[in-house]
Amino acid sequence: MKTSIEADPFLEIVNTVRRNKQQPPVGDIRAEDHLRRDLGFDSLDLAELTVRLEERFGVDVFADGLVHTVAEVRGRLGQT
Amino acid sequence: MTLTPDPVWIRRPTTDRCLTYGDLLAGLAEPRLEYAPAVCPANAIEVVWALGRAMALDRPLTLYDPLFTESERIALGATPALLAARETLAGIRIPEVVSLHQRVRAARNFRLTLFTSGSTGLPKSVTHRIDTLARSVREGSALKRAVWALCYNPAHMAAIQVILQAFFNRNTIIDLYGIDPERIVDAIVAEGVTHISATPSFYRLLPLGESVFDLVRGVTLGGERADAALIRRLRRAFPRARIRNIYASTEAGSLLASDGDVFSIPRALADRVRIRGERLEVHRSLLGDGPLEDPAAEWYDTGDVVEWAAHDTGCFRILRRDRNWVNVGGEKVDPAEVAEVLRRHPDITDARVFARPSSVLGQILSAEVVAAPGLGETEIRGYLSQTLSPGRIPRLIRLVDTLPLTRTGKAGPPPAKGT
Repeated sequence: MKTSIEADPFLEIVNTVRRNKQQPPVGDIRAEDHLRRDLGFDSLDLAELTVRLEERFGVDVFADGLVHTVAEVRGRLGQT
Repeated sequence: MTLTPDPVWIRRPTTDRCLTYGDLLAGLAEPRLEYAPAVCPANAIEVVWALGRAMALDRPLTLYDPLFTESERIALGATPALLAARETLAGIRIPEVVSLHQRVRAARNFRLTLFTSGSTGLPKSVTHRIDTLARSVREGSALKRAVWALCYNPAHMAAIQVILQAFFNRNTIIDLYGIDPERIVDAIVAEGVTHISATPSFYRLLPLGESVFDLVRGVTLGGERADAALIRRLRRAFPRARIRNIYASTEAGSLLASDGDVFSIPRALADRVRIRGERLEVHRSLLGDGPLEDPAAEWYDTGDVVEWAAHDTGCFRILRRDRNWVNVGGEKVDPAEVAEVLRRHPDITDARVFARPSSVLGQILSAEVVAAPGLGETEIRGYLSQTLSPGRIPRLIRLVDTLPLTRTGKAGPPPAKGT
């Protein structure tokens, strides 16, 4: 699944976190993308991602245990 | 008892580099050896090597955290010249590690200096002798074949505890610090890890799934408060392990241990750990040198607030730090210090830094900044990264027109959602 940047607030937030650590934005994210391996997030980045997602969607994606992939995050956000 | 000829002291599975106890003894036996009294270690193996030599040669050692920024290191005196300094010493022949243990226990000049976050800016040094460092080390036949996972920053007190625990039992350490959590889970199995000591945040990020780790006999949590849900997950994944919380600090080393979140003061420490009001205090004899601001003071206020679980039996829970400190995944951060650094920027009029709850790391830092037009979040981050280590840089920086009246840096309520 490919998502365009304009329509996807999740992608926007991923790129905010990447920009904050001086990494170039990604053009798209795929469902199977791994937050650590493919998006390069460490635990501080995951914490930031979670708080930003919660501000936007009102859902703490880590509250019920670990999430590893874009698809899992979207699942917790009710986007699947 | 049959001893393995030369057990590995520490091994990093991702690089396959290792250091054996024999390597340490061989290094010590050189006729003339170069000893480094101040080290900014690049990895855990360097810490183990430096610490092993310092203990054996009975010399002082200062460990600078590699996560310090260059300006912090320089301000703390860790100049390139200091880090390059070497003492030339005569070598010593020690036949085997067991005789080294006795030598280390009797060390008179050995000191280890570490650093802890201060409340007024620069990290503060704390200097320990072997007795405070090794106070909580357990020895015995039950630990003969223990394999320890090292999951802490190797320049921190918690890692030193693991290194000494392994040393006095001739055990192997598997260095897992900074490794991808999925590889850590694999390594726990592949390397035969029996004991893990880490922060609750570390365990929270481990993808344990439905896996069961039968070989693990000890799971220790420290550095932050552990929640009941996490303990339940750990009990399921490590059914044969004793799960313990420890209360430790850079100032006093490891002090208290408990099976749940309820601590009590052990008899041996009964006259040296006390609760005044609702604060935990530690007698100076348990501390390293440095933390007491008043040199005549007998007691050190840890800043930790406790609540009685059962007053008559002396059981209590540790609730929180009462010093404005924020715990970011086990790293103690002073928000007032970060706000101070922000306010030093010529284009920043005012700043407020506070904790936000995080399901990933317990807490993370958030900042509100009043800045001149043209100064953006990216520039502010760039500026902070020159002076602060990554854990101390606020992950959320919001530019605002004005701040609420107080600017103490105290944890404030998080801004309203959706703003």
